[in-house]
Amino acid sequence: MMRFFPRLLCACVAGLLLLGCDSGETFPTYDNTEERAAFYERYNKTSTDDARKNLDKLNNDLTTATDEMQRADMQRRIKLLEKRLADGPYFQQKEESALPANLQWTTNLDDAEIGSPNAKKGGTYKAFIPGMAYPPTLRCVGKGGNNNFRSYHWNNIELGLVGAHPNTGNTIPSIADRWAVAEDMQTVYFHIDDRAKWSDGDEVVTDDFFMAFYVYLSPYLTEQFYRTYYGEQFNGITTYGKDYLAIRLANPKPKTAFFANQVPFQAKFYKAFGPDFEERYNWLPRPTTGAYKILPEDIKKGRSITLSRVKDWWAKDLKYFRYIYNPDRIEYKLIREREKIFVLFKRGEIDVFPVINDMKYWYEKTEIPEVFNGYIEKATFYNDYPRAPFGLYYNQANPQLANLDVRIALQHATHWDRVIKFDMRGDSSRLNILNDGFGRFSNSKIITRPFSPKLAAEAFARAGYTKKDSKGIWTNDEGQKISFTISYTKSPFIDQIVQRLKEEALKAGVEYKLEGQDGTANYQMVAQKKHQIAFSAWGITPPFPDYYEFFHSKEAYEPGTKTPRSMTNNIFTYADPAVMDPLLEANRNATTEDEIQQTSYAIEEKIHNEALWSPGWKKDTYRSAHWRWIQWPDDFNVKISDEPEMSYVFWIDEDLKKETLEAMREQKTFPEVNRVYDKYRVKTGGEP
Amino acid sequence: MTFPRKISLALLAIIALAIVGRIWSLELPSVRWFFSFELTETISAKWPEFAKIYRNLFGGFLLSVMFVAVVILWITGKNFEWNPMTLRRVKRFRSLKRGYRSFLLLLGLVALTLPDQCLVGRKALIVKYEDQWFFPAFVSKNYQDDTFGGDPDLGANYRSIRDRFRLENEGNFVVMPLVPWDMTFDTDELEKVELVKRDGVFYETGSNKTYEGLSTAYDPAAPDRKVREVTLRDGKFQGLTTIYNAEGDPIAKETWNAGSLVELEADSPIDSVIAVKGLTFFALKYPPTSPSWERHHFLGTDSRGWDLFAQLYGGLQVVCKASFLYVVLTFFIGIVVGLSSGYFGGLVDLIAQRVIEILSNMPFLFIVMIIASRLGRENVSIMTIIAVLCIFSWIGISTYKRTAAFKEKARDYVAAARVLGAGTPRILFRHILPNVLSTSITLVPFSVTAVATSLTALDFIGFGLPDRYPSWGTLLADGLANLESPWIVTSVFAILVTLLLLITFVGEAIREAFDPKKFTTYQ
Repeated sequence: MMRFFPRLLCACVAGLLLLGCDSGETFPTYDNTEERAAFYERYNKTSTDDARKNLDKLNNDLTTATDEMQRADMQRRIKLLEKRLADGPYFQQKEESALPANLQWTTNLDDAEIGSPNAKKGGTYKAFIPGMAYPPTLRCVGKGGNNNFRSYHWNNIELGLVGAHPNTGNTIPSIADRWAVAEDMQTVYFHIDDRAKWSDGDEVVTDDFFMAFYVYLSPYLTEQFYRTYYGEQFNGITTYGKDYLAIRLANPKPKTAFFANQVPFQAKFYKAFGPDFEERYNWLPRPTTGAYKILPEDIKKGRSITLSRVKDWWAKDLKYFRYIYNPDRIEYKLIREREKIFVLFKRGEIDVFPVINDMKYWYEKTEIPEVFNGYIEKATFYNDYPRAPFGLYYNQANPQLANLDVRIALQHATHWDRVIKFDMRGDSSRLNILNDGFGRFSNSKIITRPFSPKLAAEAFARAGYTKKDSKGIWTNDEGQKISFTISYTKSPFIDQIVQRLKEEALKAGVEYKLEGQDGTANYQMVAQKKHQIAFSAWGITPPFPDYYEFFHSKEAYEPGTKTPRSMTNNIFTYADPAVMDPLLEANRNATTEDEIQQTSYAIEEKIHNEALWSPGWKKDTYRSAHWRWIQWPDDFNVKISDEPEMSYVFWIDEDLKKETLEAMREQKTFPEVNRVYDKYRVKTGGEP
Repeated sequence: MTFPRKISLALLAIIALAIVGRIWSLELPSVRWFFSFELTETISAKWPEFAKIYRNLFGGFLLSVMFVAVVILWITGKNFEWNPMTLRRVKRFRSLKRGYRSFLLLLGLVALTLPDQCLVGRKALIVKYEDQWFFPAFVSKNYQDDTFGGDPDLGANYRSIRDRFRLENEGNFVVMPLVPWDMTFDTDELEKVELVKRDGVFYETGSNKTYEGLSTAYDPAAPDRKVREVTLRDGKFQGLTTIYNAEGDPIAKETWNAGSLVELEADSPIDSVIAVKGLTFFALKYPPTSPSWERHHFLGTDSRGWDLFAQLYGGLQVVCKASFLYVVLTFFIGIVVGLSSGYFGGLVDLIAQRVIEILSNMPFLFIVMIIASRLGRENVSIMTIIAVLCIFSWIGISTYKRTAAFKEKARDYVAAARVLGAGTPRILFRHILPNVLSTSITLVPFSVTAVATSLTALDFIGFGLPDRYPSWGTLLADGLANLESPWIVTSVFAILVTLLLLITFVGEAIREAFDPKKFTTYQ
């Protein structure tokens, strides 16, 4: 026995070590059911107390306020707070019998089908990960959750209670098959479709929506945004049994059902949501109410991620859903260079090559034999979608940029038209406002300041910059130069644009220093407001323009200090409590579409007068080069889209694929296809 | 006049030119480099007074170092006589035709970089305007356009001034450098090539190939306004044609097939055939454009529209400067450390070797990236990159010197010198250093190759010099992303290979020249 002891010992140690080895980290089991219940109670109490406190304070202030506008605003807020308290606590659970009578249930099955009846299900759609970086997480919230890839497994896939029809913009049923908007235009009652199921087979119940609010309001998310947003913009959620629920907004809004929309978080899946949420759930595939789920074996970190169609998807035969989400599998490969993506596309290993901004690919690189011979087809689609506001954003935390004349002069020194003419092949037009492409809500009367060294010189002179140094850069008497660093995410396309801007700015006596960074590094820098000028854009979504989080003074500085507040969207570090804040609040709290339009117009004017940023370009089309086996509906795509794949109306025709591959081998050609779809074109002047 | 004294006089002349240029605010080619150093923004914000005088201070410092060299060379050059060994090696070198000719070519290339803005630049060499003579390339002052009768708000654009003078023909003229483009941030206007129609088929002017691609027709009354955008295949209209109105909005679509109209989609009727007859069609050439003598883009442009020849020239200047600084720094540090650790041994050697061990384990690329991100991309300069490269390269040299010092230290003549009463400095500088130094010459060419390749590689992956420096690496990256414009990658590749080949031949020749045996066999 003793002889074998050392070997035995080694074997035991090895065994223990190997047993301890797991393919991933193991987390201790966690059940938040009790914690949740306690949270609901606690949150109900604190939110009610806060509301009461605010109400008392407002009532107090009302007695001393003299300004008419202030009084009116306070009275409005008092009324809203009183309603909030009258509605009851945030989280309420009632029986189905407690549903109010006389609810006007409504639904919308009158809009046209989405997609084409010719769509065939099946096939593997080969794509690449947009942003050319592997997503840092599969979570939809929490640190890193708001990444480039999230739209492709969350925003475009998951269903909420209702949705927006991508051609008409009307509210359409999704998880809720009918809804009722209460008279107060703040509360919306939803009935969960009896057929609604998660991809793991479980029914969608109202507790899943409770869980969603729990996650958003919990302290376990890194971002403050959700806690504030759901805390302030919602009065609460009430469930009536397992099929009916009501979501209460804090302000009456037009398109109420759309604003009250919520995506459920499966209570069973999120049972382990706790303090270690961001690590535990980092790569856990969720059960989904949408058409695609992610299987654990399809997450190949650093290489690819694949979505698989939910075969028995509950909505697969419903109107609005039956002709979309057609491929069986969608494979997103990580390819780090755009040129490599294009080469793989030419080889047929990528199915669709969207050309959104880099026009060189459209006008030159896709003039290739595969296109002439009809194997690859080209399509230009005029859409009606908010135009991503590319431009130079000025950070007023920098003392020089805090001067209005300097900003006006910089606008005159930035030659976007040359960028449009040269680098975009003349294919875009100049953007004038922040939120363009919102139909009637976009102020089409504002024309931004043109490139003019003369006007720039005048504005610089007003700001005290009257001398030019040896390199021709404006300097003031203290020796300060007009020299700013533009921070941006490095990519060949943007490199070229900012270099063009730099070259042209020198003619106006402005020096731009270019700081191209890795995507994450740039995001961190801008989020912490450490930039001087950021070249950036935002993903803005219909139906209404958003201004509050970009300009409100609350988002500018850390409370009570002059240090810029990090992790907010106010990258201008702009604060104007006197004029802009009330406009922003009116815009956010508007109850009618006219109000939204009025306030949006006024805000855009203020942005223009204060020269807060230099608007770049806008495109009213997007283009797609795709292999001919990718088929599209007759009008190509839906109006409210900004890239070819986001509406999932396309399908793969396996017979065409075989035919095409054979034709390529036998040198058989097809007629060249280069179509323009301008059915949804927005005429200039802004009218839809 | 002995050789060192000749060198010292040459250096004195350079110093004099530099000082004269600075005092009179002249931009003399190449010597203006001494006074071209500025502090970074952050530092000059902290110490504005210091920042103002920094330029003169640093330039003065460099010139003083040179002056010290001048004085030393003059004094020690009094009774200078060539070492017969050296003469023999030089003779041997000259007899190696390939190496010697490469050396001369290399000298020629370096000499080519000296004219600086006289050869390549955006500023005119001579301007005669209304009986006044200007020399914009040679003065620090930037002229406004109105000095030459143009717009008071714009800086002078000498290329357009030259065209204007030619049109006006009033006796004013402009002499531009041979390559009238700046090395960075200088884009040409878009080229519009007219398409000529022969037998109903469109050809590019001066070409026998039918035109394939996109073409635009402009309003004859308003040449900036486009009226038609067509696609041509085999010189005939094919596919989509878009028609624009006065505001630039598309108002009609036509579909053509092999030169015949197939379909028209318009709000009001348009007679397409007649409309097309009266129009001239142009092809817009976007960058990268191919080499063109008429437009003075002798090697074409890159995808940004910057002239390729100018960038290659600028890149050559950068490589020369960088190599010179690198060799000086690396060899200086390497020799000092190597000799000391070799000669003194003991504690000095121990510490030096440990430092070398630590340094050789540090990842070079990461250090470069960290430094670049801390300083900010734009604040990185040649000195920064060279400094980082040096920190990792002196190790190789010092190892050679250390072994050489060990070897020499044990030789009899050192012992003899010591017996005669020579102190350590004398032994080091008078006896060991000259013997050890001669082998360093053979390492110089390969160091130059190394630094040229490293610099290009760093720029290629995007972590090297900022874009205000012309760089072969960024050109290479651009060329590889645009292989359908082969002139970019071909020219960069050609000059890079040529330079490295020349240096390698020179290096081989030097090695052979310094070989103590007449014929060496490698085993």
